[in-house]
Amino acid sequence: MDFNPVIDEPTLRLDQVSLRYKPSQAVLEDIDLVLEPGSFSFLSGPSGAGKSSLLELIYLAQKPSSGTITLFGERVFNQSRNELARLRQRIGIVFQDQQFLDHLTVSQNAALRLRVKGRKSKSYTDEVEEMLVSVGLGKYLSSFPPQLSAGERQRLAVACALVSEPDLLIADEPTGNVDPSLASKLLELYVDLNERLGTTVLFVTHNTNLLSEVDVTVYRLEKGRLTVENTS
Amino acid sequence: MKNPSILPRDPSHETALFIVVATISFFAALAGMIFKSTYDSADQWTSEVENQITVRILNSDQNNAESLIANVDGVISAREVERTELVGLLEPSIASDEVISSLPVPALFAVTTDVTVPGVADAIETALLNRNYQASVTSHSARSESIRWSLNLLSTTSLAIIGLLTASAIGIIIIATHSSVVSRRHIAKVLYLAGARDGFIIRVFVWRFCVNVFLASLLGALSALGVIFLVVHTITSSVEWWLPLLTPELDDFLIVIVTPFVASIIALVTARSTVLGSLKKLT
Repeated sequence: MDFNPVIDEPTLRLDQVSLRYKPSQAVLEDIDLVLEPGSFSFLSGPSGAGKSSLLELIYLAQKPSSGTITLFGERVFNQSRNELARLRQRIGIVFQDQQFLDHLTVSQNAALRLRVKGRKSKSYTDEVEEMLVSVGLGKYLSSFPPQLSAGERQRLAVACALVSEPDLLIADEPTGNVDPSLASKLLELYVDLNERLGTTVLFVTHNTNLLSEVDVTVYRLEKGRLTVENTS
Repeated sequence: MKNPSILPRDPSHETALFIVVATISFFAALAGMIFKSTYDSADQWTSEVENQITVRILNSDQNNAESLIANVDGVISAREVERTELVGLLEPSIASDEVISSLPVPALFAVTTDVTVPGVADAIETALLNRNYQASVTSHSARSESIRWSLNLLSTTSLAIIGLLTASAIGIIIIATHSSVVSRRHIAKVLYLAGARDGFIIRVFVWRFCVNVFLASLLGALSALGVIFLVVHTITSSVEWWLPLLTPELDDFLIVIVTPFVASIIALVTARSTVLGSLKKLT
């Protein structure tokens, strides 16, 4: 499955973005962030630094208190909920504790994003199988999520997110629940998919060992402020 | 690849909801049908008695009375009530035919009048008195007033009951939908994160909910219709001939059809707003 997004502008651009739940309490302060198309970046930082809030801003579950967010060249301002959903369809999200629909098979879960887009099942069966095989779940097409191990569930989460060929993939602590060797394998999977599909990846982790495994840009978020630690 | 339902079955919530909606719909449809049938029958009866007059003559000789009454202006027809009908009327309250025969039973005349002509009862009484008949003339329209008052009371009471049942149904549907959504909130979240539009997520929940409510309500309304027919069939033979009969008609089937649709529309509106509210809390 080859996917080469044709986007001249950055996939994501945050300019002076701040988020405050109370006027005196800034969760995020003057964040500037640019993710170029096809790039792979780490976002690191201690617990409570505001990583989850930043991700919520990126996948449009929150509105910033100030500053501008530009996604896929489109400034996010006062779009309707449907327009936000359309933009969100171009973002794949993987969580540490990814939730699946346990009554659906692995294949049916992986196909959910395509189903949501209104695609007919006949048109995506091969695509979904191909994606599941590419993440190493070829044997589990008819299994159900509760039957999978933690690592396999993470692989399924990646397949679910990537099957609709998103322009941006956000992985929020995807290795948080797995042992170190499996964490490295999962990171390899993301890097491979980034190289093969050209999907822009923002990989959130506080696992410092992983950061040293790949030579990519590392953003560090601490006390609501974002700094660049390493530019590849 | 087959497309199974995104929303899994939830027997604990769905069965309880089905039973509650079926029960509420049963009572709502029953109240509606009883109200409609009773109102129609009583209204028809009222219309019938409004132009009726009963004339009672105590004289032993009343041979010319019938034609005398029939010739009064405004009288459409006059008929002397047959002795067998009289016995039928008196026998349950007084005694056997033999006892009745020994009593000075007055002659009764059933008179139908033109309601547009005023003072027909007085004109009949005057005409009879002029011919030396000892007569009393009773216009049934006086009774129709009290029937109309009873009908208005019945309407108000029935509408209040139907209103209360509808309000209960709305409340139950809101609670059940909310509980159903909350218990499966993660499904809405999974769909939301997959980029589903609000309409898509709402349809997933609302469609299932509306179908369940429709089927439950249809069952309840059909049960109510069955009960009505059973009751009518059981009591019809024992009802006095002069009382209005509770007669289910084709219109009653309309209530059976309307009830599930109304219940489904309530379910649709409330479920939609509840799901949308829950979705907005997600973001």
